[in-house]
Amino acid sequence: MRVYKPRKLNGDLPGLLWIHGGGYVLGAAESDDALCVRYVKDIGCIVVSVDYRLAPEHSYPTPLEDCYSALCWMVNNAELLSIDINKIAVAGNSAGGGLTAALTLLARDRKFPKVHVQLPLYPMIDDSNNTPSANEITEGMIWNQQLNDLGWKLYLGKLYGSDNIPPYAAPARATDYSNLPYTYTFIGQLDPFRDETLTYVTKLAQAGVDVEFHLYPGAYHAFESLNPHSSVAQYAMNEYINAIKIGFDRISGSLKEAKETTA
Amino acid sequence: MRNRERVIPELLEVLDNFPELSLEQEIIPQVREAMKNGNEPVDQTDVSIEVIAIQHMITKKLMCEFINLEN
Repeated sequence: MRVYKPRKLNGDLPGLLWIHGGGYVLGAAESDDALCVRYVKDIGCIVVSVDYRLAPEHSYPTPLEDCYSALCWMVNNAELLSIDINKIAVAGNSAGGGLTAALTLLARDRKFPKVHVQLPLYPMIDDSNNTPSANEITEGMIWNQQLNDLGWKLYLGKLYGSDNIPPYAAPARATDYSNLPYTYTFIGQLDPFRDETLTYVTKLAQAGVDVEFHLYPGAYHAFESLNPHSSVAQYAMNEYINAIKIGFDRISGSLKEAKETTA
Repeated sequence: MRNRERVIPELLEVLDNFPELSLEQEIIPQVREAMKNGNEPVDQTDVSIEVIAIQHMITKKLMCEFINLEN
């Protein structure tokens, strides 16, 4: 794991667990150093970035359990890390977004730790790989149906193609989305994950979860990460970073309200 | 390609120059290495970066099962 902290600390800060992307097969926490440093500066939080083990060497559930271990470690060591455990967020992009969605389901069902904000950004959550957008983006475009199939095959291992895939492996299979944290996500309209994301946010909203969502026309998979200087990427990044702040502010508001009620 | 025509102009250059990814098992280590080589050093003036290793829960679980079998 990599822990990012401001060099000058005045009291506890919110905690953000970051989960990198890479189709469950590629990527490393180290590659997102600049991004995590930006979160610390712009949000005013402590970031823990988890270097989870990757498929195919480590198929499901190892990557998810690694993320869960990191989340537990972060909360159990909150005092040492100067983290306010009443303000915990989990975020990640692509496969990291899928792990984010899976992790909040897992933490909810294991009843620990409490997650207050989640950002499953353009998440890889539907192993069916058979949505209209997956069928539309079949080649090129950074990530496509063909690569997606390989990613799921390697991540699910022996489970691939079976009917026994748990929602913690592919959160699109969940049937209960209630009691999940405030959620923000976005996606490009030319991303094969477009429709699974649309379905996911719809199900969250129907389950009574507060959710915000932005669809970027003309944008492909991971556009904000690959084109950081483009205006659309800057807009998308500013918006989701702001959403994390809003998520934490909502908690501050609730805590203040609760204190006033009990006073 | 029809999808390419729908991409907004400021995102086209990166798309056109992006190498085709492959997830064939035998070349995954090379792809991972190539991605790592693209990492640039980060300014740590205001933010510290600490690398911490924790024992993975799943490893602990397997170890417990192994000990039980031994017993």
